Amino acid sequence: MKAEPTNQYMFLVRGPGCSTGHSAEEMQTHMTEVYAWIDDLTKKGIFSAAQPLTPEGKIVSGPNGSVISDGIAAESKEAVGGFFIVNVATMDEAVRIAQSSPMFRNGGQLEVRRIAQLTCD
Amino acid sequence: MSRHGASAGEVADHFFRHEGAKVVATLTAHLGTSRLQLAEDVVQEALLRALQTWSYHGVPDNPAAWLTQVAKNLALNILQREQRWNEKQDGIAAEHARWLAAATEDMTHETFADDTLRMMFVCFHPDLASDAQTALALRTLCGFSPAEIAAAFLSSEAAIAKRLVRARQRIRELALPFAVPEPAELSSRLDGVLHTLYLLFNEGYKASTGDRLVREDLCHEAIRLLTLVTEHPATREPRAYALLALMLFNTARLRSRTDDAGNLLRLHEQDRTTWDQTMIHRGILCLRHASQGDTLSVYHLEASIAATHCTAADAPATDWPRILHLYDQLLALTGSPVTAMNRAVAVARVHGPQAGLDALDGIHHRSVLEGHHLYHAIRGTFTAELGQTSAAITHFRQAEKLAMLPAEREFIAQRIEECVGTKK
Repeated sequence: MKAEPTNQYMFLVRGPGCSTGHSAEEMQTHMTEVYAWIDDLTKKGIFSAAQPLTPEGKIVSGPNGSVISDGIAAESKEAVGGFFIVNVATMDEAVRIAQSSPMFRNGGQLEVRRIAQLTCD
Repeated sequence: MSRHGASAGEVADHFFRHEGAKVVATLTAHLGTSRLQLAEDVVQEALLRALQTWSYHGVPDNPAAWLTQVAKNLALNILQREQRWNEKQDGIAAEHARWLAAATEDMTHETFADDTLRMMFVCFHPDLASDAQTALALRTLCGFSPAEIAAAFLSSEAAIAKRLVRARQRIRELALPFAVPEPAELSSRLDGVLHTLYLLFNEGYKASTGDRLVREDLCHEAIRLLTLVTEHPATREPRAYALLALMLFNTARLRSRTDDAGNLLRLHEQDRTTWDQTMIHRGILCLRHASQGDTLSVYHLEASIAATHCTAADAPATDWPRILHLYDQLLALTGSPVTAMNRAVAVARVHGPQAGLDALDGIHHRSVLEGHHLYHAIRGTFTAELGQTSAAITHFRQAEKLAMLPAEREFIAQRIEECVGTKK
Protein backbone atom coordinates (compact mmCIF):
# COMPACT_ATOMS: atom_id res chain seq x y z
CA MET A 1 0.00 0.00 0.00
CA LYS A 2 1.39 3.42 -0.81
CA ALA A 3 0.28 6.99 -0.53
CA GLU A 4 -0.30 8.82 -3.81
CA PRO A 5 -0.81 12.57 -3.88
CA THR A 6 -4.23 13.78 -4.98
CA ASN A 7 -5.26 17.11 -6.43
CA GLN A 8 -6.80 18.08 -3.13
CA TYR A 9 -5.38 20.14 -0.33
CA MET A 10 -6.59 20.48 3.20
CA PHE A 11 -6.44 23.64 5.27
CA LEU A 12 -6.36 22.97 8.97
CA VAL A 13 -7.73 26.03 10.73
CA ARG A 14 -5.85 26.81 13.92
CA GLY A 15 -6.34 29.49 16.52
CA PRO A 16 -9.45 31.37 17.44
CA GLY A 17 -11.26 33.08 14.62
CA CYS A 18 -12.68 35.45 17.17
CA SER A 19 -12.64 35.48 20.93
CA THR A 20 -15.24 36.29 23.54
CA GLY A 21 -13.66 39.73 23.66
CA HIS A 22 -15.07 40.49 20.22
CA SER A 23 -18.41 42.19 19.91
CA ALA A 24 -21.41 40.57 18.27
CA GLU A 25 -21.00 43.02 15.43
CA GLU A 26 -17.36 42.06 14.88
CA MET A 27 -18.27 38.37 14.92
CA GLN A 28 -20.94 38.94 12.33
CA THR A 29 -18.50 40.84 10.11
CA HIS A 30 -16.00 37.99 10.38
CA MET A 31 -18.62 35.37 9.54
CA THR A 32 -19.77 37.32 6.52
CA GLU A 33 -16.20 37.55 5.25
CA VAL A 34 -15.51 33.85 5.73
CA TYR A 35 -18.73 33.03 3.99
CA ALA A 36 -18.00 35.31 1.05
CA TRP A 37 -14.64 33.61 0.68
CA ILE A 38 -16.21 30.15 0.63
CA ASP A 39 -18.85 31.38 -1.78
CA ASP A 40 -16.22 32.62 -4.19
CA LEU A 41 -14.30 29.32 -4.05
CA THR A 42 -17.53 27.39 -4.61
CA LYS A 43 -18.35 29.43 -7.71
CA LYS A 44 -14.87 28.75 -9.10
CA GLY A 45 -15.28 25.02 -8.45
CA ILE A 46 -12.32 25.06 -6.05
CA PHE A 47 -14.24 24.41 -2.86
CA SER A 48 -14.72 20.74 -2.02
CA ALA A 49 -15.69 20.40 1.64
CA ALA A 50 -15.44 22.02 5.04
CA GLN A 51 -16.35 21.13 8.59
CA PRO A 52 -16.00 22.93 11.86
CA LEU A 53 -15.08 21.05 15.03
CA THR A 54 -16.76 21.67 18.35
CA PRO A 55 -14.39 23.11 20.93
CA GLU A 56 -14.60 20.28 23.46
CA GLY A 57 -12.14 17.45 23.02
CA LYS A 58 -10.01 14.86 24.79
CA ILE A 59 -6.46 13.78 24.19
CA VAL A 60 -5.85 10.07 24.48
CA SER A 61 -2.22 9.00 24.84
CA GLY A 62 0.18 6.80 26.77
CA PRO A 63 0.46 3.01 26.75
CA ASN A 64 -2.75 1.51 25.32
CA GLY A 65 -4.23 4.96 25.36
CA SER A 66 -4.45 4.89 29.09
CA VAL A 67 -3.86 8.62 29.59
CA ILE A 68 -6.90 10.71 28.88
CA SER A 69 -6.58 14.43 29.25
CA ASP A 70 -8.57 17.48 28.30
CA GLY A 71 -8.19 18.68 24.77
CA ILE A 72 -6.42 21.84 23.81
CA ALA A 73 -8.31 24.87 25.07
CA ALA A 74 -10.41 26.46 22.33
CA GLU A 75 -8.79 29.83 22.91
CA SER A 76 -5.31 28.44 22.31
CA LYS A 77 -3.37 29.12 19.14
CA GLU A 78 -2.88 25.38 18.58
CA ALA A 79 -6.55 24.40 18.77
CA VAL A 80 -7.91 23.09 15.47
CA GLY A 81 -11.25 24.73 14.78
CA GLY A 82 -12.08 22.96 11.53
CA PHE A 83 -10.85 22.17 8.05
CA PHE A 84 -11.38 23.05 4.42
CA ILE A 85 -10.68 20.87 1.39
CA VAL A 86 -9.97 22.60 -1.91
CA ASN A 87 -9.45 21.21 -5.40
CA VAL A 88 -6.14 22.54 -6.68
CA ALA A 89 -3.17 20.89 -8.32
CA THR A 90 -0.17 22.53 -6.70
CA MET A 91 1.03 23.63 -3.29
CA ASP A 92 1.68 27.11 -4.66
CA GLU A 93 -1.92 27.46 -5.70
CA ALA A 94 -3.16 26.06 -2.40
CA VAL A 95 -1.05 28.58 -0.48
CA ARG A 96 -2.32 31.41 -2.65
CA ILE A 97 -5.90 30.43 -1.87
CA ALA A 98 -5.14 30.10 1.82
CA GLN A 99 -3.71 33.62 1.73
CA SER A 100 -6.93 34.92 0.24
CA SER A 101 -8.90 33.75 3.29
CA PRO A 102 -10.04 36.14 6.02
CA MET A 103 -8.76 33.81 8.76
CA PHE A 104 -5.72 35.80 9.77
CA ARG A 105 -7.15 38.98 11.19
CA ASN A 106 -7.64 37.61 14.67
CA GLY A 107 -4.45 35.59 14.86
CA GLY A 108 -5.67 32.49 13.07
CA GLN A 109 -3.38 30.10 11.15
CA LEU A 110 -3.95 27.79 8.24
CA GLU A 111 -1.83 24.70 7.85
CA VAL A 112 -1.85 23.68 4.18
CA ARG A 113 -1.39 19.94 3.51
CA ARG A 114 -1.82 17.85 0.40
CA ILE A 115 -4.27 15.00 0.81
CA ALA A 116 -2.85 11.60 0.03
CA GLN A 117 -4.73 8.64 -1.32
CA LEU A 118 -3.83 5.11 -0.29
CA THR A 119 -3.51 2.75 -3.22
CA CYS A 120 -2.82 -0.97 -3.16
CA ASP A 121 -0.67 -1.33 -6.26
CA MET B 1 -29.51 23.85 7.91
CA SER B 2 -28.78 25.72 4.71
CA ARG B 3 -25.93 24.38 2.63
CA HIS B 4 -23.50 26.65 0.88
CA GLY B 5 -25.98 28.60 -1.15
CA ALA B 6 -25.41 31.91 -2.84
CA SER B 7 -26.37 34.01 0.11
CA ALA B 8 -26.75 31.74 3.11
CA GLY B 9 -23.99 33.65 4.86
CA GLU B 10 -25.62 36.98 4.36
CA VAL B 11 -27.72 37.97 7.31
CA ALA B 12 -29.52 41.13 8.24
CA ASP B 13 -27.55 44.08 9.56
CA HIS B 14 -26.83 43.72 13.29
CA PHE B 15 -28.29 40.20 13.20
CA PHE B 16 -25.82 38.81 15.76
CA ARG B 17 -26.44 41.76 18.05
CA HIS B 18 -30.19 41.49 17.94
CA GLU B 19 -30.47 37.71 18.05
CA GLY B 20 -28.00 37.63 20.95
CA ALA B 21 -30.03 40.22 22.84
CA LYS B 22 -33.22 38.22 22.29
CA VAL B 23 -31.62 35.11 23.76
CA VAL B 24 -30.34 37.10 26.77
CA ALA B 25 -33.94 38.19 27.37
CA THR B 26 -35.27 34.64 27.01
CA LEU B 27 -32.71 33.24 29.43
CA THR B 28 -33.37 36.02 31.93
CA ALA B 29 -37.10 35.40 31.63
CA HIS B 30 -36.54 31.85 32.88
CA LEU B 31 -33.54 32.20 35.19
CA GLY B 32 -34.41 35.54 36.77
CA THR B 33 -32.80 38.97 36.66
CA SER B 34 -30.19 37.94 39.24
CA ARG B 35 -28.70 35.77 36.49
CA LEU B 36 -28.33 38.54 33.94
CA GLN B 37 -24.55 38.29 33.94
CA LEU B 38 -24.68 34.54 33.36
CA ALA B 39 -27.17 35.02 30.52
CA GLU B 40 -24.92 37.57 28.83
CA ASP B 41 -21.81 35.41 29.24
CA VAL B 42 -23.33 32.28 27.77
CA VAL B 43 -24.92 34.18 24.90
CA GLN B 44 -21.53 35.70 24.05
CA GLU B 45 -20.08 32.19 23.99
CA ALA B 46 -23.02 30.90 21.94
CA LEU B 47 -22.44 33.65 19.37
CA LEU B 48 -18.81 32.61 19.15
CA ARG B 49 -19.84 29.02 18.47
CA ALA B 50 -22.37 30.20 15.93
CA LEU B 51 -19.61 32.09 14.18
CA GLN B 52 -17.46 28.95 14.04
CA THR B 53 -20.20 26.70 12.73
CA TRP B 54 -22.12 29.09 10.52
CA SER B 55 -18.97 30.24 8.75
CA TYR B 56 -18.69 26.71 7.39
CA HIS B 57 -22.31 25.80 6.84
CA GLY B 58 -24.33 28.93 6.51
CA VAL B 59 -26.93 30.24 8.89
CA PRO B 60 -29.49 27.69 10.07
CA ASP B 61 -33.16 28.11 9.28
CA ASN B 62 -34.00 29.09 12.81
CA PRO B 63 -30.88 30.82 14.10
CA ALA B 64 -32.55 32.13 17.25
CA ALA B 65 -33.52 28.60 18.31
CA TRP B 66 -30.00 27.40 17.53
CA LEU B 67 -28.45 30.14 19.65
CA THR B 68 -30.96 29.61 22.45
CA GLN B 69 -30.23 25.89 22.55
CA VAL B 70 -26.46 26.37 22.68
CA ALA B 71 -26.79 29.11 25.31
CA LYS B 72 -29.09 26.90 27.41
CA ASN B 73 -26.62 24.01 27.27
CA LEU B 74 -23.78 26.29 28.36
CA ALA B 75 -25.89 27.75 31.17
CA LEU B 76 -26.85 24.29 32.38
CA ASN B 77 -23.19 23.26 32.50
CA ILE B 78 -22.31 26.29 34.59
CA LEU B 79 -25.24 25.92 36.97
CA GLN B 80 -24.59 22.23 37.48
CA ARG B 81 -21.06 23.05 38.51
CA GLU B 82 -22.35 25.35 41.21
CA GLN B 83 -22.49 23.71 44.62
CA ARG B 84 -25.95 24.76 45.66
CA TRP B 85 -27.36 23.45 42.44
CA ASN B 86 -27.13 19.92 43.83
CA GLU B 87 -29.13 20.64 46.94
CA LYS B 88 -32.37 18.84 46.40
CA GLN B 89 -34.51 21.29 48.31
CA ASP B 90 -33.72 24.06 45.88
CA GLY B 91 -36.89 23.85 43.87
CA ILE B 92 -36.13 26.91 41.80
CA ALA B 93 -32.80 25.52 40.71
CA ALA B 94 -34.44 22.24 39.74
CA GLU B 95 -37.02 24.10 37.70
CA HIS B 96 -34.29 26.06 35.94
CA ALA B 97 -32.45 22.83 35.20
CA ARG B 98 -35.57 21.28 33.70
CA TRP B 99 -36.08 24.25 31.40
CA LEU B 100 -32.44 24.41 30.40
CA ALA B 101 -32.33 20.68 29.65
CA ALA B 102 -35.55 20.72 27.65
CA ALA B 103 -35.51 21.06 23.88
CA THR B 104 -35.95 24.61 22.68
CA GLU B 105 -39.41 25.24 21.45
CA ASP B 106 -39.83 27.44 18.40
CA MET B 107 -40.11 30.97 19.58
CA THR B 108 -42.42 33.41 17.95
CA HIS B 109 -41.79 37.07 17.36
CA GLU B 110 -44.41 37.74 20.05
CA THR B 111 -42.53 35.74 22.68
CA PHE B 112 -39.29 37.55 21.93
CA ALA B 113 -41.00 40.93 21.79
CA ASP B 114 -42.67 40.20 25.11
CA ASP B 115 -39.39 39.18 26.73
CA THR B 116 -37.64 42.23 25.31
CA LEU B 117 -40.32 44.55 26.63
CA ARG B 118 -40.03 43.04 30.10
CA MET B 119 -36.25 43.40 29.84
CA MET B 120 -36.79 47.09 29.09
CA PHE B 121 -38.69 47.48 32.34
CA VAL B 122 -35.72 45.92 34.15
CA CYS B 123 -33.03 48.00 32.42
CA PHE B 124 -35.02 51.21 32.72
CA HIS B 125 -35.99 50.76 36.34
CA PRO B 126 -36.18 54.10 38.19
CA ASP B 127 -33.89 52.77 40.95
CA LEU B 128 -31.03 52.51 38.46
CA ALA B 129 -28.98 55.60 37.63
CA SER B 130 -29.69 57.19 34.30
CA ASP B 131 -26.24 56.46 32.85
CA ALA B 132 -26.53 52.86 34.05
CA GLN B 133 -29.87 52.58 32.24
CA THR B 134 -28.54 53.72 28.90
CA ALA B 135 -25.41 51.56 29.16
CA LEU B 136 -27.52 48.52 30.10
CA ALA B 137 -29.89 49.22 27.24
CA LEU B 138 -27.07 49.13 24.74
CA ARG B 139 -25.42 46.08 26.27
CA THR B 140 -28.41 43.97 27.17
CA LEU B 141 -31.17 45.08 24.81
CA CYS B 142 -29.06 45.95 21.79
CA GLY B 143 -26.02 43.62 22.06
CA PHE B 144 -23.31 46.30 21.97
CA SER B 145 -19.91 45.46 23.46
CA PRO B 146 -18.51 47.68 26.25
CA ALA B 147 -16.02 49.08 23.71
CA GLU B 148 -18.84 50.01 21.35
CA ILE B 149 -20.82 51.62 24.16
CA ALA B 150 -17.70 53.55 25.17
CA ALA B 151 -17.38 54.81 21.59
CA ALA B 152 -21.00 55.94 21.62
CA PHE B 153 -20.75 57.76 24.96
CA LEU B 154 -17.18 59.01 24.46
CA SER B 155 -16.14 57.10 27.55
CA SER B 156 -13.55 54.42 28.22
CA GLU B 157 -14.21 50.73 27.85
CA ALA B 158 -13.11 50.11 31.44
CA ALA B 159 -15.49 52.75 32.77
CA ILE B 160 -18.40 51.27 30.83
CA ALA B 161 -17.54 47.74 31.93
CA LYS B 162 -17.51 48.90 35.55
CA ARG B 163 -20.81 50.71 35.11
CA LEU B 164 -22.38 47.54 33.70
CA VAL B 165 -21.10 45.33 36.51
CA ARG B 166 -22.50 47.76 39.09
CA ALA B 167 -25.82 47.96 37.31
CA ARG B 168 -26.23 44.17 37.21
CA GLN B 169 -25.25 44.00 40.86
CA ARG B 170 -27.88 46.62 41.67
CA ILE B 171 -30.50 44.65 39.76
CA ARG B 172 -29.60 41.62 41.86
CA GLU B 173 -29.72 43.56 45.12
CA LEU B 174 -33.08 45.08 44.29
CA ALA B 175 -34.32 41.69 43.05
CA LEU B 176 -36.04 43.46 40.17
CA PRO B 177 -38.86 41.40 38.73
CA PHE B 178 -38.73 40.42 35.08
CA ALA B 179 -42.19 41.70 34.37
CA VAL B 180 -44.32 44.39 32.86
CA PRO B 181 -45.36 46.51 35.87
CA GLU B 182 -48.82 46.22 37.41
CA PRO B 183 -51.47 48.56 35.97
CA ALA B 184 -51.22 50.85 39.01
CA GLU B 185 -47.62 51.80 38.29
CA LEU B 186 -47.49 51.02 34.57
CA SER B 187 -48.10 54.58 33.47
CA SER B 188 -45.25 56.14 35.45
CA ARG B 189 -42.90 53.27 34.62
CA LEU B 190 -43.73 53.66 30.94
CA ASP B 191 -42.82 57.34 31.26
CA GLY B 192 -39.43 56.23 32.55
CA VAL B 193 -38.95 53.82 29.64
CA LEU B 194 -39.90 56.51 27.13
CA HIS B 195 -37.64 59.06 28.76
CA THR B 196 -34.60 56.77 28.67
CA LEU B 197 -35.27 55.84 25.05
CA TYR B 198 -35.50 59.56 24.36
CA LEU B 199 -32.10 60.09 26.04
CA LEU B 200 -30.62 57.18 24.11
CA PHE B 201 -31.94 58.62 20.88
CA ASN B 202 -30.64 62.10 21.65
CA GLU B 203 -27.22 60.68 22.48
CA GLY B 204 -27.11 59.49 18.88
CA TYR B 205 -28.88 62.49 17.40
CA LYS B 206 -26.91 65.30 18.95
CA ALA B 207 -24.20 66.69 16.72
CA SER B 208 -21.40 65.45 18.92
CA THR B 209 -17.99 64.20 17.99
CA GLY B 210 -17.40 60.52 17.65
CA ASP B 211 -18.19 58.01 14.96
CA ARG B 212 -21.16 59.02 12.84
CA LEU B 213 -22.18 55.42 12.17
CA VAL B 214 -22.13 54.59 15.88
CA ARG B 215 -24.40 57.56 16.54
CA GLU B 216 -26.79 56.57 13.76
CA ASP B 217 -26.87 53.11 15.31
CA LEU B 218 -28.10 54.60 18.59
CA CYS B 219 -30.96 56.34 16.82
CA HIS B 220 -31.96 53.18 15.00
CA GLU B 221 -31.76 51.09 18.17
CA ALA B 222 -33.97 53.54 20.06
CA ILE B 223 -36.48 53.33 17.21
CA ARG B 224 -36.34 49.53 17.21
CA LEU B 225 -36.99 49.28 20.95
CA LEU B 226 -39.70 51.92 20.93
CA THR B 227 -41.39 50.12 18.04
CA LEU B 228 -41.66 47.07 20.30
CA VAL B 229 -43.22 49.27 22.99
CA THR B 230 -45.87 50.51 20.53
CA GLU B 231 -46.61 46.97 19.38
CA HIS B 232 -47.33 45.60 22.82
CA PRO B 233 -50.93 45.79 24.06
CA ALA B 234 -49.84 46.86 27.57
CA THR B 235 -47.76 49.81 26.41
CA ARG B 236 -49.37 50.85 23.15
CA GLU B 237 -49.99 54.38 24.42
CA PRO B 238 -50.48 57.52 22.31
CA ARG B 239 -47.42 59.19 23.87
CA ALA B 240 -45.24 56.20 22.91
CA TYR B 241 -46.40 56.60 19.31
CA ALA B 242 -45.74 60.33 19.54
CA LEU B 243 -42.16 59.77 20.67
CA LEU B 244 -41.67 57.20 17.92
CA ALA B 245 -42.95 59.71 15.37
CA LEU B 246 -40.49 62.30 16.68
CA MET B 247 -37.57 59.87 16.38
CA LEU B 248 -38.59 58.88 12.86
CA PHE B 249 -38.88 62.49 11.67
CA ASN B 250 -35.49 63.37 13.11
CA THR B 251 -33.76 60.23 11.84
CA ALA B 252 -35.16 60.82 8.36
CA ARG B 253 -33.15 64.06 8.27
CA LEU B 254 -30.08 62.78 10.12
CA ARG B 255 -27.70 62.56 7.17
CA SER B 256 -28.63 65.90 5.67
CA ARG B 257 -27.62 67.82 8.81
CA THR B 258 -23.94 67.91 7.83
CA ASP B 259 -22.16 68.28 4.51
CA ASP B 260 -19.48 65.86 3.30
CA ALA B 261 -16.83 67.72 5.30
CA GLY B 262 -18.85 67.35 8.52
CA ASN B 263 -19.98 71.00 8.64
CA LEU B 264 -23.36 71.64 10.22
CA LEU B 265 -26.06 72.75 7.81
CA ARG B 266 -29.05 74.90 8.72
CA LEU B 267 -32.49 73.69 7.79
CA HIS B 268 -32.73 75.90 4.71
CA GLU B 269 -29.28 74.72 3.55
CA GLN B 270 -30.12 71.02 3.75
CA ASP B 271 -30.78 68.96 0.65
CA ARG B 272 -34.36 67.87 1.20
CA THR B 273 -34.17 65.22 -1.51
CA THR B 274 -31.94 63.21 0.84
CA TRP B 275 -34.60 63.09 3.55
CA ASP B 276 -35.85 59.55 4.02
CA GLN B 277 -39.42 59.69 2.79
CA THR B 278 -40.27 56.17 3.95
CA MET B 279 -39.33 57.13 7.48
CA ILE B 280 -41.26 60.40 7.26
CA HIS B 281 -44.30 58.48 6.06
CA ARG B 282 -43.97 56.05 8.96
CA GLY B 283 -43.67 59.03 11.28
CA ILE B 284 -46.90 60.49 9.98
CA LEU B 285 -48.69 57.17 10.55
CA CYS B 286 -47.35 57.06 14.12
CA LEU B 287 -48.47 60.62 14.74
CA ARG B 288 -51.94 59.60 13.58
CA HIS B 289 -51.93 56.73 16.11
CA ALA B 290 -50.67 59.18 18.71
CA SER B 291 -53.62 61.49 18.19
CA GLN B 292 -56.07 58.81 19.32
CA GLY B 293 -56.89 59.60 22.90
CA ASP B 294 -57.08 62.87 24.77
CA THR B 295 -53.53 63.23 26.07
CA LEU B 296 -51.19 65.84 24.71
CA SER B 297 -47.63 65.06 25.76
CA VAL B 298 -44.40 66.92 25.16
CA TYR B 299 -43.62 64.20 22.61
CA HIS B 300 -46.83 65.00 20.71
CA LEU B 301 -45.84 68.63 20.37
CA GLU B 302 -42.20 67.98 19.51
CA ALA B 303 -43.25 65.40 16.93
CA SER B 304 -45.77 67.81 15.43
CA ILE B 305 -43.09 70.48 15.10
CA ALA B 306 -40.75 67.99 13.42
CA ALA B 307 -43.60 66.84 11.15
CA THR B 308 -44.23 70.42 10.04
CA HIS B 309 -40.60 70.76 8.99
CA CYS B 310 -40.56 67.37 7.31
CA THR B 311 -43.65 67.96 5.22
CA ALA B 312 -42.70 71.44 3.95
CA ALA B 313 -41.92 71.30 0.23
CA ASP B 314 -38.99 73.68 0.74
CA ALA B 315 -37.68 75.97 3.47
CA PRO B 316 -39.75 79.06 2.48
CA ALA B 317 -42.90 76.89 2.46
CA THR B 318 -42.44 76.02 6.16
CA ASP B 319 -45.62 76.72 8.11
CA TRP B 320 -43.99 78.88 10.79
CA PRO B 321 -47.27 80.15 12.30
CA ARG B 322 -48.21 76.53 13.00
CA ILE B 323 -44.78 75.85 14.48
CA LEU B 324 -45.09 78.93 16.68
CA HIS B 325 -48.50 77.78 17.87
CA LEU B 326 -47.04 74.37 18.75
CA TYR B 327 -44.16 76.02 20.62
CA ASP B 328 -46.68 78.11 22.58
CA GLN B 329 -48.33 74.89 23.74
CA LEU B 330 -44.98 73.20 24.40
CA LEU B 331 -43.81 76.13 26.49
CA ALA B 332 -47.04 76.03 28.49
CA LEU B 333 -46.32 72.35 29.23
CA THR B 334 -42.60 72.46 30.00
CA GLY B 335 -41.98 76.05 31.07
CA SER B 336 -38.37 75.37 30.17
CA PRO B 337 -36.04 78.23 29.15
CA VAL B 338 -34.64 76.07 26.33
CA THR B 339 -38.14 75.60 24.91
CA ALA B 340 -38.66 79.35 25.21
CA MET B 341 -35.40 79.94 23.35
CA ASN B 342 -36.46 77.65 20.49
CA ARG B 343 -39.84 79.32 20.45
CA ALA B 344 -38.13 82.68 19.93
CA VAL B 345 -36.78 81.39 16.62
CA ALA B 346 -40.34 80.63 15.50
CA VAL B 347 -41.42 84.09 16.73
CA ALA B 348 -38.71 85.68 14.57
CA ARG B 349 -39.80 83.68 11.52
CA VAL B 350 -43.40 84.80 11.94
CA HIS B 351 -43.06 88.34 13.30
CA GLY B 352 -39.52 89.34 12.35
CA PRO B 353 -36.13 89.45 14.13
CA GLN B 354 -37.01 92.28 16.52
CA ALA B 355 -39.96 90.24 17.85
CA GLY B 356 -37.54 87.32 18.19
CA LEU B 357 -35.17 89.42 20.29
CA ASP B 358 -38.05 90.65 22.43
CA ALA B 359 -39.13 87.06 22.97
CA LEU B 360 -35.60 86.17 24.09
CA ASP B 361 -35.57 89.14 26.48
CA GLY B 362 -38.88 88.04 27.94
CA ILE B 363 -37.70 84.55 28.91
CA HIS B 364 -38.00 83.75 32.62
CA HIS B 365 -34.81 82.39 34.13
CA ARG B 366 -32.91 83.64 31.09
CA SER B 367 -29.69 83.40 33.10
CA VAL B 368 -29.54 79.61 32.63
CA LEU B 369 -29.30 80.21 28.88
CA GLU B 370 -26.34 82.57 29.17
CA GLY B 371 -23.92 79.64 29.27
CA HIS B 372 -25.48 78.01 26.21
CA HIS B 373 -23.75 78.80 22.89
CA LEU B 374 -27.02 78.48 20.95
CA TYR B 375 -28.57 81.34 22.91
CA HIS B 376 -25.84 83.72 21.78
CA ALA B 377 -25.82 82.33 18.24
CA ILE B 378 -29.58 82.92 17.98
CA ARG B 379 -29.17 86.47 19.34
CA GLY B 380 -26.41 87.00 16.81
CA THR B 381 -28.63 85.79 13.97
CA PHE B 382 -31.49 88.12 14.96
CA THR B 383 -29.23 91.18 15.33
CA ALA B 384 -27.50 90.39 12.03
CA GLU B 385 -30.91 90.24 10.35
CA LEU B 386 -31.66 93.66 11.82
CA GLY B 387 -28.47 94.94 10.19
CA GLN B 388 -26.70 95.51 13.54
CA THR B 389 -23.56 93.83 12.33
CA SER B 390 -21.17 94.85 15.10
CA ALA B 391 -23.56 93.68 17.82
CA ALA B 392 -24.10 90.43 15.90
CA ILE B 393 -20.36 89.78 15.77
CA THR B 394 -20.14 90.30 19.55
CA HIS B 395 -22.90 87.74 20.12
CA PHE B 396 -21.37 85.23 17.73
CA ARG B 397 -17.95 85.63 19.37
CA GLN B 398 -19.56 84.83 22.72
CA ALA B 399 -21.24 81.78 21.15
CA GLU B 400 -17.92 80.67 19.67
CA LYS B 401 -16.33 80.85 23.11
CA LEU B 402 -19.04 78.66 24.66
CA ALA B 403 -19.37 76.06 21.87
CA MET B 404 -17.97 72.71 22.97
CA LEU B 405 -17.60 70.95 19.64
CA PRO B 406 -15.36 71.75 16.68
CA ALA B 407 -18.28 71.48 14.22
CA GLU B 408 -20.25 74.02 16.26
CA ARG B 409 -17.30 76.43 16.47
CA GLU B 410 -16.73 76.09 12.73
CA PHE B 411 -20.40 76.85 12.11
CA ILE B 412 -20.29 80.00 14.23
CA ALA B 413 -16.99 81.11 12.67
CA GLN B 414 -18.77 81.05 9.32
CA ARG B 415 -21.53 83.29 10.66
CA ILE B 416 -18.90 85.75 11.90
CA GLU B 417 -17.26 85.75 8.48
CA GLU B 418 -20.60 86.52 6.86
CA CYS B 419 -21.06 89.47 9.22
CA VAL B 420 -17.57 90.79 8.50
CA GLY B 421 -18.38 90.38 4.79
CA THR B 422 -21.50 92.58 5.01
CA LYS B 423 -19.63 95.20 7.00
CA LYS B 424 -17.05 95.77 4.25
